[in-house]
Amino acid sequence: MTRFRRLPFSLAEPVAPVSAPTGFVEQLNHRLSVGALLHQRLQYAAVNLRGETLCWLDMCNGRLLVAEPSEQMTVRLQLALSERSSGLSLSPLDPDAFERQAQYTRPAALRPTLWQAGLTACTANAPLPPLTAQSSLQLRRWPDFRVLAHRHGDFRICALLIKRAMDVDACAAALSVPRAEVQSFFNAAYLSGYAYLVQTQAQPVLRQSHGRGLVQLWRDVRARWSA
Amino acid sequence: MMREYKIVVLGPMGAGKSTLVQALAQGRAVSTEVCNTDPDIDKPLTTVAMDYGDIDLPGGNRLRLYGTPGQVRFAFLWPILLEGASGAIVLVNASEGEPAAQVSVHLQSLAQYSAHLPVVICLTRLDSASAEQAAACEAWLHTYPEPLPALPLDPRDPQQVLTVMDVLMSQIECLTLVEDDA
Amino acid sequence: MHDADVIALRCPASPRLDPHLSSLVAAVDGVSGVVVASLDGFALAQVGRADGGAERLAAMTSSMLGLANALGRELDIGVLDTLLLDAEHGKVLMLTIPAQPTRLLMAACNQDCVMGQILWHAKQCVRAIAAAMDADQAAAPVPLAMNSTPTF
Repeated sequence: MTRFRRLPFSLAEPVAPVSAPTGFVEQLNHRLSVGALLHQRLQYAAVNLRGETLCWLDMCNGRLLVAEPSEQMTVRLQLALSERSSGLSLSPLDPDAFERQAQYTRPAALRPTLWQAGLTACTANAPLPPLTAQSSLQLRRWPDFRVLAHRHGDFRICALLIKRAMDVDACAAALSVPRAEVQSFFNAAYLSGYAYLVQTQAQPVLRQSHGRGLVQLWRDVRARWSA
Repeated sequence: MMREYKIVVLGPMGAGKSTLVQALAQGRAVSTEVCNTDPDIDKPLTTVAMDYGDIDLPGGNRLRLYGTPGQVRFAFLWPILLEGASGAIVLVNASEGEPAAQVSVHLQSLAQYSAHLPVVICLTRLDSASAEQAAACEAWLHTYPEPLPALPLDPRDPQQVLTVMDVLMSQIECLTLVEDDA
Repeated sequence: MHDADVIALRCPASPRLDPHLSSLVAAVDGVSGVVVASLDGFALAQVGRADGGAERLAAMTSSMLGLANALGRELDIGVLDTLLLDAEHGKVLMLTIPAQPTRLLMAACNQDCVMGQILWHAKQCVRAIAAAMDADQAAAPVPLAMNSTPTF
């Protein structure tokens, strides 16, 4: 197990965009981060791919309506996300139109859906644009547990990224977790607005430690109980 | 060298603390439940000292679990039971509403014991909670100054109990990774 | 301590309770206070300390006896009767009052108190309180049957 030297805990300053975020993923991350502070006209948006609407978003109340055929639209969204010049864009949406449609089509939970899309959008080890392999992220808060329920290893990444901003390599090394797993977490957390980009001077200093503490002992017990 | 670790469960009466400790101790926890005479609370039994259970860890080590009595008149016990704890689980009864009022004294007790103790919040009885009550829990969590993990829990469900412990262990691990310089 | 008033607290105790507590305090030298509590830690009556500490002592007594009962179950030694604490500057006696419902009695004593004496008197007190509480229950008015017709 590796250790960091502790720095006083504080939410790291997010990278302030020089101008308004331009790319689709950046815009989405920004709006989901700001949430209720958004101007009302920005709270509802349509997601378009080269002129065709894939889904509608209600970012304040965390809802999403996927256009039909929904499976196809979801796949197209995931494919588009992985491309640097994805052709994805956000456009204004009349809130009344969303509410009318929501009476006929049951909305999905927005962040869990985006999280799943982010997990699988890119092939192993590939960052979701605009993230790069060197991007440092920090979590504002713990994600909805509906998104975390299926990969218990993500709890460890969450606990660490809440406390400290770091890049994929530093996080994977600290927790001895495969890099691909951490990268997909980073992609999902950024896309769903739980994480933000941080300007860091250097990654945390790592130290080795020895011995088996409570956490490792618990994992052994848990494995025995689950068998 | 064999070591003993300690996890403490806090929260208001009726949130499910005794049930959680019994679940983790696989039904072998010691209980100090007696008849409840408080007419304001509709619950037949109440814990007056603690629930105690333990889990054998590999290598002769042991994990001790302590459920605390929920009512404020037993608050003198909370610091005693917290002494030496590695982590804490705080239960909030979602169906009772007013989450801040439910657990403010318990969280204060935790803060007085240690500002850095790993903590997990669990929302119990969500199936009995109204939409407004569930929303109140959500709103409280968003305004809470520290970004604590909060997840739903039915302490009668073994899988959910294990998940809560996994989350707590991730918090405990993080504390050891980001340690004091001093 | 011989002239202490019985202070009724959260749930007014039976009037039959008061003389027994006062008798205990009067009968034994060195008793500084007595508290009667519910099993779940509410103070029901108190003699002696008037500083509002009865509620706290009742809760603590309940916790102590709750743990002692748990130990008793673990060792399979039957229902708890008495718990004695012997400390540097005083002694504390805690007993179960075997009434319906069960109640608890805590007597705080100074270091001069003779434990055997306080134990004997406390047990007498507890038996008398239990009998009084049972008598109260037996004498409690029976609710009228739904269809009873008054006669004139």
